Amino acid sequence: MTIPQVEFNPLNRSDGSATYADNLFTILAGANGPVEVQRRDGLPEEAAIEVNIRPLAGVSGPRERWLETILQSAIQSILLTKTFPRTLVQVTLQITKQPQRSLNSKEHVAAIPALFNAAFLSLLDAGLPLRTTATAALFGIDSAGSVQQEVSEKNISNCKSLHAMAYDTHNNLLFDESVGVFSVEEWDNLAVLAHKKCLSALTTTQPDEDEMVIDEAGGIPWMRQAAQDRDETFNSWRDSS
Amino acid sequence: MTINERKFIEKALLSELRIDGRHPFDYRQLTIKFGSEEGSSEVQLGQTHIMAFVTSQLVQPYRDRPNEGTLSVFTEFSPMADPSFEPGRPGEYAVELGRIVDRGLRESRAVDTESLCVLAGRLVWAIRVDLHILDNGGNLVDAANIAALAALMTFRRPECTPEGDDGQEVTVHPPEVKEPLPLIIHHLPVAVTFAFFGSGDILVIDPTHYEEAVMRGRMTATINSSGDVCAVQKAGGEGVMQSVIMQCMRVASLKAADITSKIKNAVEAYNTERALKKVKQHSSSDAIEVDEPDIKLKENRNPYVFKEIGESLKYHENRLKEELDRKRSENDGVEIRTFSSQQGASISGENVKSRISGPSNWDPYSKGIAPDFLRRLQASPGSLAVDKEQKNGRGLQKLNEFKTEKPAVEQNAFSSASVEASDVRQQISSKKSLMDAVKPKNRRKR
Repeated sequence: MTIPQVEFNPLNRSDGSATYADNLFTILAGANGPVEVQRRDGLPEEAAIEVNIRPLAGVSGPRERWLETILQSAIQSILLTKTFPRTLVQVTLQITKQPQRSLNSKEHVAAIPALFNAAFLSLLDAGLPLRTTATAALFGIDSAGSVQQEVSEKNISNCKSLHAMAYDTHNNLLFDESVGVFSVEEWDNLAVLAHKKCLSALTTTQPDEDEMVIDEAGGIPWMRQAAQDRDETFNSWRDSS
Repeated sequence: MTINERKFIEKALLSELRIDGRHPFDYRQLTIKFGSEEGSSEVQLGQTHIMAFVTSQLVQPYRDRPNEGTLSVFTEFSPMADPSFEPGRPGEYAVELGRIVDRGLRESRAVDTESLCVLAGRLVWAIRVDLHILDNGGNLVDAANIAALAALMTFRRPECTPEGDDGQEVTVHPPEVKEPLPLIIHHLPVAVTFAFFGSGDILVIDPTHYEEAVMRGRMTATINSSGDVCAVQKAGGEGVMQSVIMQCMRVASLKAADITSKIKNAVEAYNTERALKKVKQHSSSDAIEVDEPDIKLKENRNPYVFKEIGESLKYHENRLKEELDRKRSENDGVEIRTFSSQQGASISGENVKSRISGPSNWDPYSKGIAPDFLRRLQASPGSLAVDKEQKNGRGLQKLNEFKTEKPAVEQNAFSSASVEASDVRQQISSKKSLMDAVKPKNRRKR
């Protein structure tokens, strides 16, 4: 399994930023918030969330609008929006690398996990109050019916269905976007798998610390590791003083 | 920005001090990187960060220009670059930025659009440059212009040939079948931006975003390395003395030459790396065609050959510099030209040979090579692969090491003379292909 590459704070002007690279996409995410909101967008009791997805070439169209709505509702469920009423949290996601072969409409689901993970990391970097930590994962079921744990440029065209799912640490399913032909049993099976994979990205690196360790498919706590590394580097001035 | 900050910047400028410690005519550090795909570049100018991505598409030409392709530049600001940028509708600055870059590139005819014609009046290539402003550290215009140039210089469009009985059907060849073609770029118009402070008498080059917030006026001069002014933009702001403008132009032409050589070096380094990748792919694909005599020959040479490729390329730059210094460039200059221009031809034994067979004084390892061995090597490119296969991966490892340790940008080792040499080469090739582009078109018309 390839470990997603994460870099925190590559940008200077936005409040928080992160790059996220997996084997299909590389996403640069910038988060600003809480910032002033336009009067018509402002919500009286909570912060409004605005997600902008910018494709590598061309202007954003219906595909980006659709992805934006998915991410917007997912972010809404993890961000403590009630803390900042009448403000705006902006998340901008720039795709900086995508598969060379242009994907068909079904395969656009493949971008969702990368976009969500990048958005989450940028919110983390911006220091916005979050309810929980969450990760998303991508699965495919190929024409033979076997589950592809790792969808890559090579096997994506063989998949009869694609599934993007995100779980938080409270075992809640944040979103599920499934396209293609699949049975209910297959989906059930996948939901369990996705749950394990998402949680394993968040589990602690010390196995004896708590009981949340799941050591199965794709058990690499990459997000936990990235967040921990960020914490260490960004707080190193405290230790040295 | 607070009044205190504003006052501080203005006060400091009176004594020729800038808040980032530069002198008025110092440019910020410029870094040019290239993406994994052809035609993508990332430029960092101080804190400013811009990504350019070039794509091409076959379209119907405009009615009034039936045998010219099109070049269009698109910029859009996002709140990622600066919280004050609003997504959606482009602001005044975004429009201005797009126009300056567009005018500099298109209206100065930097990219040859006639060679983008496939079928006159029916099919031409439309080149689209997308500029993504990732981080606004000030002076977006210059950075965007450099990013666009670098991306256009590394972009390659797929080759296509007219087919069918009447030559009206076009086959687009995928990159595996026919080597994609680079664009023909006649010259590199480089934008240099100045900011005016006070009553237009204080002048700085390459303003940061703090200085942009304070400045009273701005002027962008787009100049190429031979000193031609391609475009000048001064949209309102404080009135400036004519003599100050002339001073700006002189400074701009110096900076433009400097930036041009930086872009060219970066592109050269990228092309070298790309060619190196091709050599590697080529040799591995040839691994099947093994013939007996070569293996025998290889027995005593083995540990060297692959290492030599790595070594020789490592010394490639140094050698180039040395040789040029010694005014012995005639022979080697030709070699390098064949190597880096590699239009359409995959790297074969001949190119490999041209790099190995330099004079032995620059490469300690090449002393052991007999000329007849080189001739054999040239005759059978497969022999390279034999090494890789047969011998310890040490040589190969060396090659990889070399690839990774080689930075994408910088390359100060290339002397300015080499840049000139490549310039000449570029001009020659562009003339040729211009003719090529025109001829078939006329023929088809009749």
